[in-house]
Amino acid sequence: MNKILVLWFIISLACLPLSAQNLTPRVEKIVNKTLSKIWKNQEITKNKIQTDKNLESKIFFKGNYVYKLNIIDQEEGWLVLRRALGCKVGGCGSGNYNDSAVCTADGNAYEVFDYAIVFTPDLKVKKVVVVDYPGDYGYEISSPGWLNQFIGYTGGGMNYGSDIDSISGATISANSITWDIIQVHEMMEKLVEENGLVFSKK
Amino acid sequence: MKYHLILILIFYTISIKAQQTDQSSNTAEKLIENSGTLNIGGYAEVDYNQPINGDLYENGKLDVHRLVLLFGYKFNSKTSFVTEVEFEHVKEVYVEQAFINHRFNQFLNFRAGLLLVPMGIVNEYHESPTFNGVERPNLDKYIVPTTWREIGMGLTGRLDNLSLRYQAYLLNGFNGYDGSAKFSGKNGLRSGRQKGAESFSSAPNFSAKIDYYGISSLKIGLAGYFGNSQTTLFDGISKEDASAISRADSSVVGINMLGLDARYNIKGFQLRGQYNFLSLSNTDQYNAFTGSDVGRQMSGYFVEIGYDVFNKNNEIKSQLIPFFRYETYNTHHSVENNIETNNAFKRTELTAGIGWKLTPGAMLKMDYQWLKNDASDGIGGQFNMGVGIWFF
Repeated sequence: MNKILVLWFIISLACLPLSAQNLTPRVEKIVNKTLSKIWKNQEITKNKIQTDKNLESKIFFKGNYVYKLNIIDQEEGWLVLRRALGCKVGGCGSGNYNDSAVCTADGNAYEVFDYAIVFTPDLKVKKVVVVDYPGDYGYEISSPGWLNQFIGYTGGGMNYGSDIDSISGATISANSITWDIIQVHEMMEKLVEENGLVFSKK
Repeated sequence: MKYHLILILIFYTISIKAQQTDQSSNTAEKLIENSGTLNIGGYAEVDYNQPINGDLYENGKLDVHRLVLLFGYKFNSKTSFVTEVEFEHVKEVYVEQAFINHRFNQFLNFRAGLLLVPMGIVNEYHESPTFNGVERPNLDKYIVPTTWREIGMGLTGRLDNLSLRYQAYLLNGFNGYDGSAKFSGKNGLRSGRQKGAESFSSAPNFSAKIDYYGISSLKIGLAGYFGNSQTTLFDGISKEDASAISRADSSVVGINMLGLDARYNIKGFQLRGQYNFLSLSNTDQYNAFTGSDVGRQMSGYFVEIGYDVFNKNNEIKSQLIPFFRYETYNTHHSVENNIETNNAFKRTELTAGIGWKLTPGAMLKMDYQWLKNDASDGIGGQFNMGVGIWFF
């Protein structure tokens, strides 16, 4: 039996290094710059955490990454790298994410974009930054000023157009990121609470 | 049992690997490879315009003003094609855009084909639910000849850390003369648009725009357009025939247009404004040669405020937007000495109305316009109702 486990361990090791994913250099540069603005002159380490704690979080975070952020031995927050749907080739306007119908699309009709979200240990949004927006429509959501509206969000309902100011020409992407941040927050709550990913006391 | 366990563990391990390999195609740097994707969309405006005149009966006009089919095809993550096929007034068919876009990276895209000239707001964002009022601002008709598009090529890209987007194109220019004058005092350059329909070229024009989007819900654009109008008179003349060249030169005007626009949304308020200034050279010779009355300078601006009264009510998903727009524009801002300034070309318009956006893509509109020009004391009026849709 032990041999079997050893064999499995070896196979796992052989597979894992090939598939280990980390921040790409360009995205890492943007993320590091963002973190160093939040925690000035401090060295922050990012420790990737497992998100396949249960089936729901495994599915939700598939292809996304969650990190615990540490400064020396102290844990300072969470970092989530996340992909969301942007606009379509040719335009950006009539999607209505309030119905959440568009978000269930497989992404094929849509451009996608990637963003990073930093939470405090108690899951208050500290910063949102779009790290890659390849599309030619709806890019206005990468405006830092607009994204700062999400700072302080602690979960619950959030409406595009009233709680979050709308943007002309970026209806789909702006709706998308608003809707997505709500979902990410919900999943982070579950991940943290249900799976014992509590922060150590300072 | 042992073998079953081995198989289960190997299968589990491989499935983890498969999942993680799948993740590798989802790294933040990459776009999902959704090649071969065709997006079909469209927009339409169905309008009712009723001129109001105190002394005369006037017929109203009911018109499928425009019905446009949009196609966006994504060959791969880098290369896409966008086109709009338009039916105007039911019976006229146009192509509004048809260009290929190749993305090298977010800083640099190459674009070629039939392109919209980036000037002002409405020329690029002209789908009915994106603007208030049944009709587009007239500044975007007489000074910026919306929908203004010509064949050309150029570069676009974004500097996200500076919140800037740029567009720079070399484009074919206006048809200024093809046997008769295309420019006029009343309509400005509008009748000179070639729209990519068997257009002819005698000199390329340059168009560029920079948009800044660094402040929340604010977008500011600065645009420039520079070049010469096109003329058929150069075609086939000898390069040594000075008198023919001089004659052809008389049918050309130099065009310099500047535009500044801004859009700002906050707490349910929707604010937008646009200013355009157009300076033409050689209009004295052009008018003398063609008998036209084109102004040397044209200018105008509009400001608009709207408010979504349902903004505070999260239960109501639609938007009800009363709005007010003031615009003034003058196609005879200044003229050369050989023609008289026509005060009728200095026009001022007030539009007050309401739009009910049932969803972001469907809008019912109603407004009233007070129309005035400086040549008369009377104020004309027009009542408008319309349906605007956009799906994509």
